[in-house]
Amino acid sequence: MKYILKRIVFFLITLWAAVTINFILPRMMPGNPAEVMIAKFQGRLNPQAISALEIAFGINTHESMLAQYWDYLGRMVTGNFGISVSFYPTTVAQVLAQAVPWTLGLAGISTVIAFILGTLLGIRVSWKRNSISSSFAVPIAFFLNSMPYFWFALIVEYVFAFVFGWFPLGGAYSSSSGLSGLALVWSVLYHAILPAATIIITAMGGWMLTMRNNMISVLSDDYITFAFAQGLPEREIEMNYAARNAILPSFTGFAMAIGFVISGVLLTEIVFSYPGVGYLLYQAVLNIDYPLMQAIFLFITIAVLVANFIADIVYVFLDPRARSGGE
Amino acid sequence: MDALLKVKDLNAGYEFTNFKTWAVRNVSFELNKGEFLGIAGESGCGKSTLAFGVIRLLMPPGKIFSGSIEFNGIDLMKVDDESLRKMRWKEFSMVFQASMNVLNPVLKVRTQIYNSIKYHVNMTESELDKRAKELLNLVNVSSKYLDAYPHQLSGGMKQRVVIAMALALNPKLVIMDEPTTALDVVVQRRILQEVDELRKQLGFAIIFITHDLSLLVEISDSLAIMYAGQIIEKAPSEKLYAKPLHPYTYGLMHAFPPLVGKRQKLHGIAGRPPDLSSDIKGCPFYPRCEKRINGVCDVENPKLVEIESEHFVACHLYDGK
Amino acid sequence: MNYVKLFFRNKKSAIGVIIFLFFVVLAIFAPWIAPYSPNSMAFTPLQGPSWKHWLGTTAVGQDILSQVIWGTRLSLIVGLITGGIATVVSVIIGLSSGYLGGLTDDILMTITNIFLVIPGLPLIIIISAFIVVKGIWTIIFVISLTGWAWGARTLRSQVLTLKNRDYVKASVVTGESSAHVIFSDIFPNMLSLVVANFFGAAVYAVLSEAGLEFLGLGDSSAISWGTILYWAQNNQALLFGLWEWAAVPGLLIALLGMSFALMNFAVDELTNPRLRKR
Repeated sequence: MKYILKRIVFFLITLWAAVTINFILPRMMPGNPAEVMIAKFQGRLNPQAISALEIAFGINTHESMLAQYWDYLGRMVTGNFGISVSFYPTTVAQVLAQAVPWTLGLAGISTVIAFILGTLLGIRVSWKRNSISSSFAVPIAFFLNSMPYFWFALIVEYVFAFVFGWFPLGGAYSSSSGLSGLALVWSVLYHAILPAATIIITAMGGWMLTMRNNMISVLSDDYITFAFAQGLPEREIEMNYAARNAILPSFTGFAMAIGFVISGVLLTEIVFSYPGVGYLLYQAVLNIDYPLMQAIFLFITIAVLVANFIADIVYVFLDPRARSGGE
Repeated sequence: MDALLKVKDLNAGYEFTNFKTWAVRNVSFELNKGEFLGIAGESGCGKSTLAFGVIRLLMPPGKIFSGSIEFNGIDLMKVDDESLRKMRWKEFSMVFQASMNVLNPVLKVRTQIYNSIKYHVNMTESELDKRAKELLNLVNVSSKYLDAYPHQLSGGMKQRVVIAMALALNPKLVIMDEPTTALDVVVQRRILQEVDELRKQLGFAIIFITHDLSLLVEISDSLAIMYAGQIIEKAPSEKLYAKPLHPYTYGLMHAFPPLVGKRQKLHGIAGRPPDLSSDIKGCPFYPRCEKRINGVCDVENPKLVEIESEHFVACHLYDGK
Repeated sequence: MNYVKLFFRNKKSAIGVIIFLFFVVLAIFAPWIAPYSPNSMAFTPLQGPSWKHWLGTTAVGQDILSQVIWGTRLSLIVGLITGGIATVVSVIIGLSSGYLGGLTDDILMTITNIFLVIPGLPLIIIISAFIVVKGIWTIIFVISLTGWAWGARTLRSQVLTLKNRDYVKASVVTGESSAHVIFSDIFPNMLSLVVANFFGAAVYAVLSEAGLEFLGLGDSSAISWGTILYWAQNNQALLFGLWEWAAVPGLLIALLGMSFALMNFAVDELTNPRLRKR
């Protein structure tokens, strides 16, 4: 369990680092960009809100940096992210809470599907390494993996929503009022299909290539030949001897891969105007809404950390060597 | 005596896109039921390729180029993949050179022993459990290690577990490819003696591959010496030990210290074995041989002929040329 | 080196090199290849493809083909320079962390792991949002800042392996200076990994730059594939049926990314004998 403890400590350190980045960035930039934002929204905000923003970004204050930092950490711990200037007077926490479920649903489900599909494909492609379908699958995966996600989303939207009209152009559910029950569920699913497909297809290529390389590496290990010598069925060797070992590096390399997937999700949401965190971040950027941006950054970091933490725990279950101490 | 394995003119090696290594060259031999045959030679002489080849276990790029292998009356070169899979482990099993790494690191010892049995014979869970305990008992490993993972076992224990697995289905032949090289000498000897006792008790034949000839002389029934992909001498152990005919065998015998007896000076063999990706003209040992006959040995490759009863040698010193 | 020969004989890297060279030629000779000036607004806006304008025109009447050709320059430069900077940083961090070990290693690796876990694009977005003056160097800086961590980690583990090789140990025992051991014994033996890392970082840079420009966080007056996509999206090119406007620059980004990725994989394949095709 030492392993898990180590991960928890790392989790906290990273969280602290993200919070600190949020604190330092506006104070480090020349001419404090937050002032620009406050000036821009001057007429629309009440004086109280303005002074709250000034405190948050360290403007017109005589407090020392350290004292500011201490106050800041206190606000973060209590979940006080301030007021969103573009959705004034709603608080950042409330605005974010609206968007989070959409992203979690879309990103969570499509990431899991992409991981499973990509990994299975990687297993197949490396096992049947010299088949025709394998020699096609690898270059296609290369292309999918080097594609800008948002561009692929644009093309998918254009072809399937605009030209063929099979799917809605954007949004998360039909705007016609009065939808409820099953009709609403269907509407939500229907709107999610294209963005989800975009994420799955683009993310799948990366998992597939990773798994393929891991598999090829593992296939020359002695325990594979030994399994063949024992006359085990191919299926058994493929899954329980080769794939079972080859999947382990996919979990240790999860941190970087999930970062790419998150980027893809954000951009996909923006293209499809899907009301999740990514789209919200885009709006925050357009409206120079710094408090909202910072909160979103923090939220995404936490989401990635949690995903990594889950991957770490799954890893411990999959690799007996990690369980009995050491890494 | 009944022949269990008949290998004739076997050629095998490794095929790459731009070149080919011919690691086993025209090898023929027979193995009787219950016999202990040792195959010795320096590393890179094709011993392991031969070991994997005779049970058709060469993984790509490894390949059998030609020849015939008859196991218990069945032509192994002609059986289809599925029948071959069914024969494996039940008819012949193998203990690998790198036995430290042949156990699947993510499965329990129990699961791995079960797997080696359950895909060949129908057994209930409790029968499997009983058999697994029996097997570990046979190789002197406590059955509490059934629920351990490979990384929790010592090197010697892993080796014993692998040997136990190899005996799981009472095969007629067990091939052992340098199974003890990673262990210290004392453990090596002990495991070898245990294996020999098991053989006498259970009656399987053994092909034992090693580069350390001294390990085998006391135990094996017969010995074959390999050089550059060929068997250059084969005889019952005592005969070969008492009177090695081939200059290479002689050199090999004096390359390792005997465990008992008086101290003596060791002689290595100067030079290196030939590159097996090229064609070899004449006797492959010619460049290193102290007794070479110029004009004969560098022209024609000697054939393996029976000089005395059961004593075969491939050397121009004895074939009258 | 033999590897150089193998690199050009490998099918993956050969395709990668060809695509890459194509873009290099396009970038260098842009003034001669492009039919018009990329900034000229002399044409009828929002036209579809024609013989005069193969990819049509923008909302302010610029020739899209000329913009795409000129855009190669910026995308290529950002990819190469950012890849280079990120690689240098990962080499420095990876080498010192792996070689020095101890507390230095712990600290550097914790920092590396933090950068690895903090999601790259959102960090790039908020940093760029806070930077008021935008230009190519801000983009390069921001992407380099987030793109070195993976390389540092892989290079460190390579250093750890090399450190235990006999010849390196021998150098240490004979009292060679740390600098000598690092630069003559360790570094040359991890060169292929460094090269692979460079290509990997370049892919990351090309894609991130495009994403950043697309969101309008770059310098939207500069001409790069990302900004062309930004203007195409802002003018709803797809809804006007001007799909070439968005399709072509995106395709080129994908091709450039793929060429780096192919070279990366090829180096990996050549140096890791297990991956080599049998």
